[in-house]
Amino acid sequence: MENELDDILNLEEQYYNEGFIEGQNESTKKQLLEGKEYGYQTGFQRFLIVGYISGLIEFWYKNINSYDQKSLKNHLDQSQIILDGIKMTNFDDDVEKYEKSLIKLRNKIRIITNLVKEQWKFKDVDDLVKEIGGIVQLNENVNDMW
Amino acid sequence: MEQVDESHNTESIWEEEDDIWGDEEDVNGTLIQNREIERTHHKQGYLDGLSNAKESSLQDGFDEGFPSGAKLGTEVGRMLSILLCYDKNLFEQCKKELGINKVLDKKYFDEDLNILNHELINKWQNIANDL
Repeated sequence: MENELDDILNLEEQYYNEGFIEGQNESTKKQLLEGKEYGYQTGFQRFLIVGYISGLIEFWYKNINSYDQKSLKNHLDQSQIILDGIKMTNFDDDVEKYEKSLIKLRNKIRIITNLVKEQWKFKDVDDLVKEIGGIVQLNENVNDMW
Repeated sequence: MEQVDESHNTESIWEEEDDIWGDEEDVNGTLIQNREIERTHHKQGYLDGLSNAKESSLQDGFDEGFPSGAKLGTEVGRMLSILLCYDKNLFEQCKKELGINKVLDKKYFDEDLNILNHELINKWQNIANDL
């Protein structure tokens, strides 16, 4: 009789554990995907400006001969070095470096745009970043995203 | 008490029921009881499991998605500034087409949110590279 009771209890525990693992795996996967979705959005938003700056630098390098500014190349080289040092991973050190590098890059680009008299290329960048990467528009079908 | 063999399928149970000399009540009674135990405890375990997702999973997912989102953001930003430098009409068009909702549309990702062929990005890369 005692053995029979043990058998039942063992069986109950076994079924419970099987169910627990199944439920835990399902919710873990769901959370992983939710996190990944949020990571995509955040990474996209934070790196729009990095890409924007890299496109400007690329343009100025390509057309450097049309500018009569001797110091331009030097500023571009320095900006490129800062840009190359930014990592896309989300570790604490990388995020800290991203913040510092972005401050330096913004200053560099302001110097360059003043130098080549193309301030218009950078003055609206923050509005542009908000417009492209800003809050997900709820009037669109959010179910179509992911 | 008889242990129910997991390989004991439904068909063989019914075969035994047809056998008037077989121990029908014992076999079926055990099976039903066992199924009830399984159903009840599996369900309870499943529900408890659902509310016990591994703690790090949200952050793990975030860290996994972040670099891929960063690559997409970098590429979109790069194309925007290049187009602005060369052609304002294309820049305006690009702005309309490459908003976050459109770039992160589920049709460009598989069920695990890995990027598939991103036709929209490819299209604008070709336009920007041809300038």
